[in-house]
Amino acid sequence: MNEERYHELLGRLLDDELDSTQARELADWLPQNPDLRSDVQDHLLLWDLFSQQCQRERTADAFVEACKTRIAAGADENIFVRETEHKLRDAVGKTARTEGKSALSFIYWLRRFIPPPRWVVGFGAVLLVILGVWLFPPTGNEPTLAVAMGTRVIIERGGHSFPAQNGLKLLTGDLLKTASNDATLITCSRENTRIVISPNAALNIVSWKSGKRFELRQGRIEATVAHQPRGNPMVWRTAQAEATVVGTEFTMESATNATRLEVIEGTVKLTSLDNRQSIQLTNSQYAIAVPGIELKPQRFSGGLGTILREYWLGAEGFHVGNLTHDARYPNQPSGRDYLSSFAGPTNWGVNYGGRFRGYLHPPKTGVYIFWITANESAQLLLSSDETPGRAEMLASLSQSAPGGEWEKYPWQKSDPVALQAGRKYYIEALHKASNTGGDHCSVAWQPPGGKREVILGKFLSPFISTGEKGIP
Amino acid sequence: MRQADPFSLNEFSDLVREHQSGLRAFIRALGVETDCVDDLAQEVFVIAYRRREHFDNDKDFGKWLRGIARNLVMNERRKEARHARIISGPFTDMLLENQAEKETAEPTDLRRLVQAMNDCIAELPERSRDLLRKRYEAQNNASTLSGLFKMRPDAIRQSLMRIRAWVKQCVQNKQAWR
Repeated sequence: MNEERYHELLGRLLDDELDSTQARELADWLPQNPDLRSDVQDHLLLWDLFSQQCQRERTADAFVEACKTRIAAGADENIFVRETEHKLRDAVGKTARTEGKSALSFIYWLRRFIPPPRWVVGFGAVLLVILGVWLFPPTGNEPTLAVAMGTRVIIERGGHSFPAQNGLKLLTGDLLKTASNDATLITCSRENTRIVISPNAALNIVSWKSGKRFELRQGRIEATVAHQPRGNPMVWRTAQAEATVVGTEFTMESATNATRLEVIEGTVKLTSLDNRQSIQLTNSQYAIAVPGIELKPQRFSGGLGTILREYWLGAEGFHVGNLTHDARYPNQPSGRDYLSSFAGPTNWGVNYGGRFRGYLHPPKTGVYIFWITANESAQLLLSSDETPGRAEMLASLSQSAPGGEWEKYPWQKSDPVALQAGRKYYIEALHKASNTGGDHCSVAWQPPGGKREVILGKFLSPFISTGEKGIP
Repeated sequence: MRQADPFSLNEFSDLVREHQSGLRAFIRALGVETDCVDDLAQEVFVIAYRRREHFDNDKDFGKWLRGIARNLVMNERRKEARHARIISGPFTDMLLENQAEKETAEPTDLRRLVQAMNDCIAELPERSRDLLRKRYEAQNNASTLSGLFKMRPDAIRQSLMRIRAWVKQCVQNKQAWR
């Protein structure tokens, strides 16, 4: 690349006109030119500062206000969902209260004209209710969508697509799609059923009135289902299985080749669409429906002692991104093993990527600090609970550190994290080994009042794998 | 937290005001898409606020924010390309690495840098200043600017790049950069 080409690409970068091929060209060329690498970074920084001065929507005031709003709102998907639920509940409550108030006012009004005895008033009220129901039949128990502001949820209805608004009544036949970072919630107006739809999901409302039926085309849902009418259970269908729910709390995840159902509380009947085999899942059980494999209930509290490591051989590059952008990632690892501590093998190979997955079981409630070390690069993620989707990056390194060297770079060390004994937390480390040899990857922690040490297997349990064809 | 009651949102807002500009520019310099910079920067402050009790008052708050920002950008790196808020994965890898090497260097005095930038822009010919304003204030792209300035889009791009390179050199000459 000559200077002219460099300036052309830099200009396109600064004008937001750089396509992915040009970005790759720049990324491939710049590592050999440290001065120009800094030049790119300085230009990005400088012209963003200028843009902050020029654009009204980017002023410091606008930014600070937006931050305050997000902080006040919790700006967290769960809080977001909870708030949406509250708003929805409030809205439903208001309607109910308003309706109640009108009815009550009318009774008071009646009382002004009808003298005691009170049974006359009572009789009048009953009559009024019967008349009201006859004249204005109650609206059905329609599913209502809670969509928080800024959330992208698309509804496909009758051949048209439109963005969903908060409070939208869903109709039979609606296909609902969530964007990559946006969760949403379905509630039912007359029962305590709530369905949280995770990002990147597609859900079809097959029927509602004569038993609720859904088709989960992709993605994950978490549902708390109120007791359903006898003979009209709620039914969830995926490409591989059908779950019949009378009233329970469960999660369901649909991928291309498998469906995973976890029952937190209650009972769900799961039927494989491949061979019509049915099983009943109860509290803390899960099963995976994969064509050609027998359905089997399993406990989802994996035993303590190990952590799962999956590896992808023949993955070139230095960065974790080289692993996560490998076509085989995450569904087709070259292999997997179970480690008795959070330390991968040393000098094991070249050009491979690894993913450690499991649950952390803190022995004490308190504040923990984590470290990661690796050759070449690695990332450590921890969830606020056992859900992988809530995992956040704790520590990372994009350049190699020697084995046992925990503080070569400041971001190898996490901020303090508060954890509770008796709970389990999803933990994951991504590791990329290059062609230089000397590969290793380990994670250490410092429990409250303790010393830094590699996390031992007794505090870990492996990620509950979905089998060889499983869901990531 | 430095100079602030860690539990007061108003006090925290002062810290946001103090650090927002540099943090946003820092995030952009890691290869985050223009439209996503402020969104990601807000997430950094939300996380910082949530974890404010863990911040050591004796440490550099800006550095702590930049650490959180790095992690968030690396999170973006893990997403599928079409969902990520970065220009491109390999490009961001390269910028992350470059930035990591710079982290040990003396931090730039942002006020001085912005002052120098404005001084340099003031030294530009009127037409060049006008081109910059129309590019950044009105957020016009090269095609629109070509209509306004009666120039071909590639000539607009070249002019803009020449102006930018000159301003950057001018800022460096004023020794406002590290």
